[in-house]
Amino acid sequence: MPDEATLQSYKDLAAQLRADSIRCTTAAGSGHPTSGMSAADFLAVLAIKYLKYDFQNPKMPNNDHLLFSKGHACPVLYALYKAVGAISDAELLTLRQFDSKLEGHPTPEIPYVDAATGSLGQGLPIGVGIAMAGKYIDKLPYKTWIVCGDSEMAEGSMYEALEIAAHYELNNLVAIVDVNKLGQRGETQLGHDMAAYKARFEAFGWHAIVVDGHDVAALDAAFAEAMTADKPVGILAKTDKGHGVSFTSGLPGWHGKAMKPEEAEKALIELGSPKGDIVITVQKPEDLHPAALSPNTDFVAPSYPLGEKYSARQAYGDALKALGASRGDIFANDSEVSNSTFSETFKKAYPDRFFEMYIAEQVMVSVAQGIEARGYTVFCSTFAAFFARAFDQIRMGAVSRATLH
Amino acid sequence: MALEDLAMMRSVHGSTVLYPSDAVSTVHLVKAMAETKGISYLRATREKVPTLYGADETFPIGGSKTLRSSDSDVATIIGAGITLHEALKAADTLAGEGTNVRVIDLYSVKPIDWAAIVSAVQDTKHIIVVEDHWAQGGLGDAVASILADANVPMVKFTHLCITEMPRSGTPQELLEKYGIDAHAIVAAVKAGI
Repeated sequence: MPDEATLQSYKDLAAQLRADSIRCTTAAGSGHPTSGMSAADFLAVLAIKYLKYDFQNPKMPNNDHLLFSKGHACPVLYALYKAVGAISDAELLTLRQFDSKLEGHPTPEIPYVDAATGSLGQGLPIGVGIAMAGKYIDKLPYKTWIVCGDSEMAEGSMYEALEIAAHYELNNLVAIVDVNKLGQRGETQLGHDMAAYKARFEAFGWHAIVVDGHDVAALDAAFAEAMTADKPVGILAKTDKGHGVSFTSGLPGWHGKAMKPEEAEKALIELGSPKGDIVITVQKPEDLHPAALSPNTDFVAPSYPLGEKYSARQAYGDALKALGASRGDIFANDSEVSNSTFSETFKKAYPDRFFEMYIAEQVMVSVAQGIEARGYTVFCSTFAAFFARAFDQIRMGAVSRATLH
Repeated sequence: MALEDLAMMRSVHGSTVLYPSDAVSTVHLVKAMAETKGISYLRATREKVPTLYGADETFPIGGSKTLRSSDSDVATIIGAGITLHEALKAADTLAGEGTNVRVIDLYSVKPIDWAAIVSAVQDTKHIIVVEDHWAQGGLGDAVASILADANVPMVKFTHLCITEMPRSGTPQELLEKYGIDAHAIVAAVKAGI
C-alpha cells in the first residue's frame, strides 16, 4: 500500500489533469473534456509510478508506449504531456488551433504519439503490433499501455486484437478500459456491467482486473498486479464520465462538449482550484538497445525464363524471400492464406519473421503498423477483396503517415 | 479476386498502387515497395502467365512499359495483370490482319506514367483501357483523368471493364463473358477505325 503522500500526489495530479482538460477545451471552444476526466486518476497513477519514458528522448528504443485508443479524449493526454514537462501550459492552450500540433485527435506530429487514433477500435490493435515488436523483434522489456474507451469495445477489431494478443502471449501489453458508461449519445451496450467486461477479457485469454477507476490506492494495486502478469492485462476501470465536477459527473449530454467559460470557472473551483504547476518526473527506462537483425546483403532477384509461365503471386513469395535474405528488417503478416498468397515461401525461409494473423484482416494491418512504428518493414498479404475489410485501418495508416505494404 | 481494390487503394492519400503482369516485374516492384514510404499496394494475379521481361529490365514506380508500337498504330491498348496478356493476344491477331496497335503495360497505376499516355493520345487517337475491375476507380478512371486534362488533345476513349455482377467459371470463360478478353479488345479497336 503506497503511503499517504504518494496517494495525495496521485490525487493532486489527477485534479490538475481534469482542470487542464477543461481549460484547454474551453479555450478551444470545442473538444472532449469529460472523456478524459474519467481517465485522469489512472493516468496519474500510471505516470507517477509505472510509466517508463524519457520525454527528452522519445526515440529511445526501450521507452514504454502509451496510446490513446480513445483518441478523442486527447485533451487529458496533452494535459499529461504538460504534467511531465514535455509541453508548456501555453502550448496546451493551443489545442485545436490551426497551427498547433495538438490537433483534435492525436497524430504522430507529436513526437510521443505512435499512431493517429480517433477512429475507434484501432489503438489497441496497433498497440498489439508494438507489443509484438517489443517481445519478438526488439526483445526489449518496455511495456505498451493502451487507454481504451468502453464504447469502442463494441468494435469487432478490438476482439481481433484481444485474441491475437493472447495468442502471442503479450505479457508486455496492458489495456486500460475507461468504463465510464456513457458513449456519444447515451449509455453504452454494457453500461457499468463490469462482470461482463471481465468475462469477455478472460474468455479471450487475458488477465482481467476490475477496479474502481477513481480509487487511486486500488488503481495502484491494479497496476502493480499488471506489472507481473504472465498474460496481456485488461485493467477494467469503472469510472464516471466527467468525474470530479458535479454538473458533468456521470451525466449524459456532455460528450464532445467544451464547457462555457463560466461553467469552466465553476468546475475548476469544484476541483479545488488546482494551481496547474505540478510537473512530475517520469521514470526513465533502462538504456537498452533492440536485438540485432540479420546482416544486410545484396538483393539477389529470382530468375524466370522469358515465355515460361509463372503467377505473379508466386513471384511475390519469391521476391519476399529474396528481400528477407538481403534485409534483416523485413517481416511478413498474412491472414491465414499464405499458401495462396505465397507468403509461405518467406515463412519457410524465415519462420521467426512471419506472423500468422489468422482470418483477421483488421488486426493484421494494425499489427503491421505497430511493428512499422518500431522501425521495421512489414508486408501484409491476403486476397485483394479482403483488404477492403481493413480499409479504415489503411486510411488511418495514411493519417499516421505510416508506411505499410 | 477483387473488383474494388484498385479504387480503394488509389483513394488513399499518398498511396502507391502497383499491378504487375509477370513474375519479373512483380519481383522488381515488391523490392521497390520495400523502399517506398507511405501506403503501397500490389495486386498479384493468381493465374500463371508467360514471363514478358528479361532480368535486366527496370520498373520504376510511376513508369510503364510499351510492349507493342509502330509508326502506324491506330489505337493504344492499356492493361495490367491478366488483361495485358489479352491485349497482347489482340495486338497479335490485329497485326496478322495488317492493323497495328500500341500496347502499354500500366504496372504503376498510381503514380501513373502521364507522359506515356499523353504521347499515346497524340500518336494513336484511340485509347482503350481493359481491366478486371469495376468501371469506377481503376485503371480506366486513372487514364481518363489524364484525358480530361485541358492540355491533352481530345481522343476516342473505350473502357472495357466489369459491368455486371460476375459468377463462377474458368478464367477464360469469365474474361470472355465480361468482355475483357482478346476478342472484345479486337472488336473495340475495329469499332474505332
